[in-house]
Amino acid sequence: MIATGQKLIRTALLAVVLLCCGAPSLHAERVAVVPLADLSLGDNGVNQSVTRELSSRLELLGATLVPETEVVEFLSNNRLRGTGYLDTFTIKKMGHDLDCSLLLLGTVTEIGGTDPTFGIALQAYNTETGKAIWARTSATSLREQVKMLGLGQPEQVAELKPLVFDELLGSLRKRVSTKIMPLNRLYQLDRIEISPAFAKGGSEVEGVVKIRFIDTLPERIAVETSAGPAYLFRDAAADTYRGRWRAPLEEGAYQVSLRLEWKSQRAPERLLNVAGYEVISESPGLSIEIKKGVQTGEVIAFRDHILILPRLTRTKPMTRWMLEIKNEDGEVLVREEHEGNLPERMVWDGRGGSRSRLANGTYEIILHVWDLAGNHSVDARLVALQASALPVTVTTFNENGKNFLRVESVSEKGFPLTSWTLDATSRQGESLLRVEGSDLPVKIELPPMEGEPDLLYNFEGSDFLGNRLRLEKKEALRPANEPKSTSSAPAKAWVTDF
Amino acid sequence: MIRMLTSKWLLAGCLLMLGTGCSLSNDLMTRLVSKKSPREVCRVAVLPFENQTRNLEAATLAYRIFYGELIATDLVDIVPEGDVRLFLLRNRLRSGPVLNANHFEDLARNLGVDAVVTGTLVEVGMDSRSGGESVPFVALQLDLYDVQSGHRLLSSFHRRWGDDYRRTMHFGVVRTLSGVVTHVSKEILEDWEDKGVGDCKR
Repeated sequence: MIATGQKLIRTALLAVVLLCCGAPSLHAERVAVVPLADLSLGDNGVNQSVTRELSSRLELLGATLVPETEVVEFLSNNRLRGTGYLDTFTIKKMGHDLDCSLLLLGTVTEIGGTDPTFGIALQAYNTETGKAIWARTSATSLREQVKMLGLGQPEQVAELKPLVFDELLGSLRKRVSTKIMPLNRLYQLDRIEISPAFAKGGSEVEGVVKIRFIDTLPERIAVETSAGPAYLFRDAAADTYRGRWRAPLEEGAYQVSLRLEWKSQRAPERLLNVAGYEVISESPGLSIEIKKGVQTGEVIAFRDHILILPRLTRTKPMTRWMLEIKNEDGEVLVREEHEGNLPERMVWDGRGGSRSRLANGTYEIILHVWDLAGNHSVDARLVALQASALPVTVTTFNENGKNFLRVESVSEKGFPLTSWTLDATSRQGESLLRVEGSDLPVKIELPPMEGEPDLLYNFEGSDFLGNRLRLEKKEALRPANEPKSTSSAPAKAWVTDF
Repeated sequence: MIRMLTSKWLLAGCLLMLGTGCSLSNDLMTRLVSKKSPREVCRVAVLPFENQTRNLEAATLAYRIFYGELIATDLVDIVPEGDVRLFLLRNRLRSGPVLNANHFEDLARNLGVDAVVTGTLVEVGMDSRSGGESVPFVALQLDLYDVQSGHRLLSSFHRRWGDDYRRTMHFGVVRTLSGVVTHVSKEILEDWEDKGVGDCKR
């Protein structure tokens, strides 16, 4: 019975001790970090950037530091040049003048090099006694950190520093009092990656967390989102924690927090809003506007070039886009794929993928766009390319004893001429007629002529796009079944002119 | 009877081979020079190491690391480096000094030490290995002097390569000079502890 009581008291005491350890101290004692000597910079070299990084790490462990300016001022006032060492008197004086109970002295033993390395020899002194109470050296190199399959392997000196700092400060924390380094921050969150950063509603989102712990690992780590906690599993090879969850359906920006669950004696800790992601469910709402063309029915006609102006109803960033131009048979003649946002405008000059001019005809312009969440939007427009006026034929024929000229377009595909003039002359140069018109085909009666009509003509015309057609001194054709008569036939009358 | 003798010799031979092998691979050699026991050493000063290498900063590197490892062992009370530097300044001595009776007296009187550690960085560098690999190596000579008599109590010479610590594949290989010096320092100090350093009763 007594033994059980003692056991209960012991358990209670242990709980009190653990609670004390877990709680930050109310009367934190200050720590002075003397600028680290750097042997790579020579005998009197000082590395202030590494000193600051070390100081930041110390602060993360709850240490209250003497401001750097006060330390430097003390060194200056006491004419101390070398920073890798101090004498007993100076250590005590520093403690007195700067009101600190612990002094950290150190030397960067190695930094950089062909196999990049990083090493520090660090010592801690009790400023009351002037005696060293702790010392440790930690050094590593990139080649020393080679890991299986290269996963999570450091690639530069900057990535070696946390390893060295953690080893040194983890060891120091075990040696000094909780008044100097309260035990409430035993982790360092290196990075948290949420992918994709823009997700579709309901799609899967992955979180990768790189977090270091000074000593014990938490029992579980969860990512907390509006959908609730998602527990992460440890990926030992990459030295990370990973987990997946479903993105909410509703659009918007979502914050992510981390929850560290420790064993029973320690309350869970939450790191609020350490990352975020955005849900986008609607498509980008793409439409195409074509400029520099002429709308004719459902198609936009052009002769030289057109401007393709993409319009988006949503101003979210895009991940990629693709432009396709197909002919009437559905064959893809042009395909442009690019990452990133759409350009403000694109110019198409009627050329194909090989930069050769395409034939007149109707083409379909299709533009696709994908936003960062993978939502897709597409729009298409029909355009008609007519880079030259449609050719015409001029034929003579006889009907009911009268001679006529027929002017017509060679092809029915394309846009016909909208204005034209025709001058016809006899072979002797006598003007026979001059006609203007706007429509084709057309039948023109020729003036009475002796014999079969044998004439030359000049033709000029243009379509509504501005393409021009000019034919000079052309011989009018005869119908295929009507052979051209020879001039051997006797004239029935005197000709008026030679 | 013959069989028993044979097996005893075999056992002794194996033990000798094992012992020799260990000491050779370790390359640590410590001599107890004086009749005075290192057990009486309670407080020491470590003098800056003499540099016999071409690496200008290597001796300081080795000194700071050894000094830190000595603090970490908690075997003896150690005089801060700044006090040692003041002693050198006072006596106009450079690193790797040859100490005389006056120096020992000064050390005892002003720094209250029983012993002083002097060191020489004999070798330091990178050795090539197959596959374009290179590993750091260090050779260190350390002596422990009794300041009362001026006699040397312990003398150690130790040489190590980074791949002496290889476990399997590339694992365990120490690739930093600081790492090898740390190992060398620890091994010497463990040896010194075995020889009585740290048994101070005061």
